[in-house]
Amino acid sequence: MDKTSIAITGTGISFLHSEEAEQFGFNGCDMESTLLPAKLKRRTSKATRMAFAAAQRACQHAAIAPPELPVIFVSSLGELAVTDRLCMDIAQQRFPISPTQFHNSVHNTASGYWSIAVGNTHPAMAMAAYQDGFALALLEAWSQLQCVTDKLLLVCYEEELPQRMLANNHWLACATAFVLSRAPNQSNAMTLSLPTCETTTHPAIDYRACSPALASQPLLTALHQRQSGRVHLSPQADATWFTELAISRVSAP
Amino acid sequence: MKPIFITAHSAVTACGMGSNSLKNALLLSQSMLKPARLITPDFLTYTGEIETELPILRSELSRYHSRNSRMALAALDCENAHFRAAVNAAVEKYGKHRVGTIIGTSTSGIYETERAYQGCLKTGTQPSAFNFQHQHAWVATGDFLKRELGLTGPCYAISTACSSSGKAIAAGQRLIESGICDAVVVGGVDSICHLTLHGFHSLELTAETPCKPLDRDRNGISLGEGAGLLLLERNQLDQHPALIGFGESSDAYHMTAPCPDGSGSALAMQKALTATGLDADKLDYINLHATGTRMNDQSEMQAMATIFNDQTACSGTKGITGHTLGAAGAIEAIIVLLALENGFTPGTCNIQHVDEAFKQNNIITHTLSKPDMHYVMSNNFGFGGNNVSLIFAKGELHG
Repeated sequence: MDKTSIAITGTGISFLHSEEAEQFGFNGCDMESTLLPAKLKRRTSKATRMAFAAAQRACQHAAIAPPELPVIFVSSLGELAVTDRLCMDIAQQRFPISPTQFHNSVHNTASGYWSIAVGNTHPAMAMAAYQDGFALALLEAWSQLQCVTDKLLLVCYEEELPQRMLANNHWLACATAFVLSRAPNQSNAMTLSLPTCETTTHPAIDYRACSPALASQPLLTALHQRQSGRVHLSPQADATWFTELAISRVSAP
Repeated sequence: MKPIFITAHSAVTACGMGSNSLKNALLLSQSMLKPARLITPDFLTYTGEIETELPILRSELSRYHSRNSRMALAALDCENAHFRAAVNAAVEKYGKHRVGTIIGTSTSGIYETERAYQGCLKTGTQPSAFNFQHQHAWVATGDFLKRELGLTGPCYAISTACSSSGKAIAAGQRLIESGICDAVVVGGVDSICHLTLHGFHSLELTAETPCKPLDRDRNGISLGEGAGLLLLERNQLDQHPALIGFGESSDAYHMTAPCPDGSGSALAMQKALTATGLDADKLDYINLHATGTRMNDQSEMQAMATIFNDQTACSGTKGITGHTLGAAGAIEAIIVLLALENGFTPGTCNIQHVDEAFKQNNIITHTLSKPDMHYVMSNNFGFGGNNVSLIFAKGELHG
């Protein structure tokens, strides 16, 4: 295999408010997914529903069946809205707490429901790295593509922040997804180099206004505009993650 | 799969500070479970809690103050800080940017968040010391360890419930095999908290007595807490044990109930074996996930019967430590390494009658001396049907 890059074969986007997606030039990005059974839809968080919608779109775009792909789900907060309500129940001693809400509070709720809904017995990773989550999920994807699989699905998602947890934060709620594969050594590919972290002199951005899931937006925009070059994978701060995007001329998606 | 060496490990559990205290409790098969104390819920349940006072973070890192970070700091500095010294040596050898940090946790610093919410309800304002990003966000403990140890390699958290830190060990191997890192601090940390105590009780999965995994009359789990850290390195030429295989899979069945036929966990075990190229009968000991719930143990033993014969020794050790959730993968990896290094198979603490429904049946009830061990495995399975199995080999076999 090509040891210097990985290929992107499909992408998907979902926003809680689709008009916010339009600000970034993304259309048709609601949070509907036909893969989420109606019974589950009533019981799952917005985070999980957005993750499903983006994941389904990426699989469709890559023309690959969801059960065929090992998954990496990354989120700074995961099911924090569910956790916030449970912590309030606990503080107010409203016992017993809901067993369903309890198991829906685990960080791998979205990846767990995804594997159940699509019948996927491949490994499911659920990870977090706060603002660097997307970059480190790409790094994890890179290592998996080198060592254990030739393709996978990466889903990056973030819900609105409960104010009790992080006051005065206004993170956009959205999800993005990528089908990635070992670089195929052929001309019609969009490929990424190994993400690297560089110490920079940029002033730290105001994290309060920036959803970690939006860290994938520069990459999506570059793909959309077919713009090869250096792409930010994390917010500008004292240490920032980058990759090199290469788009060959006859690239398909 | 490329073998990766474990050059140091440290466990802080209800058994005490350091891997030696864990080893001593395993040799004695001594249960550390007592009625819950750190938090006293309105129902009877036993827990494995750390009773020794935990160290305080140095002031430059005090924003990371949490029970989890304090347990992680204790794991660095207990037993003459040998783990910290091993990491320092790795930094010297490879460079700080070549050493990564991957920490598994189920609920991270939620213990502090619960207290903040209780405080907020009483006073109307969030306590000023509450800092979600550095105390509760899933990567907080990993971030603390990275800064405390002066590392600049990749750092992330894995949170797949009870398989979290087993998967962190597998991910650490991949970072080394793929050339991204030369060494990785991997492990798991989770504390007792209201959410898991009350949550498992709501699911009717907590036992009213100290848990008795694999017993005919088992009736649920006892929670525990702790930190387990391992240092993974490439290219060791000495006698250190090695991770030689891992297998990961999903049940694709149910969020909380394991697949009754054990097919999901069997897939993880089979993948781990395939990665090593070993026949199943080569394994000398398997530390089971064995939580003590009716369904979990039945499903795991069903999976065991599809892969292993009646000779393969296995046991569950949560009757000693309690179920440490996201830390269980790392702590139980350390348990199998202790067994390998010291030549014994841990018993299944609290067991009285092995469940006769189990088909594969070489469950070790009492700790036995077994000096000639070569290969050991540890299983961990979490909510969402998330499974991981790890296989380790004795140093000289891969040194």
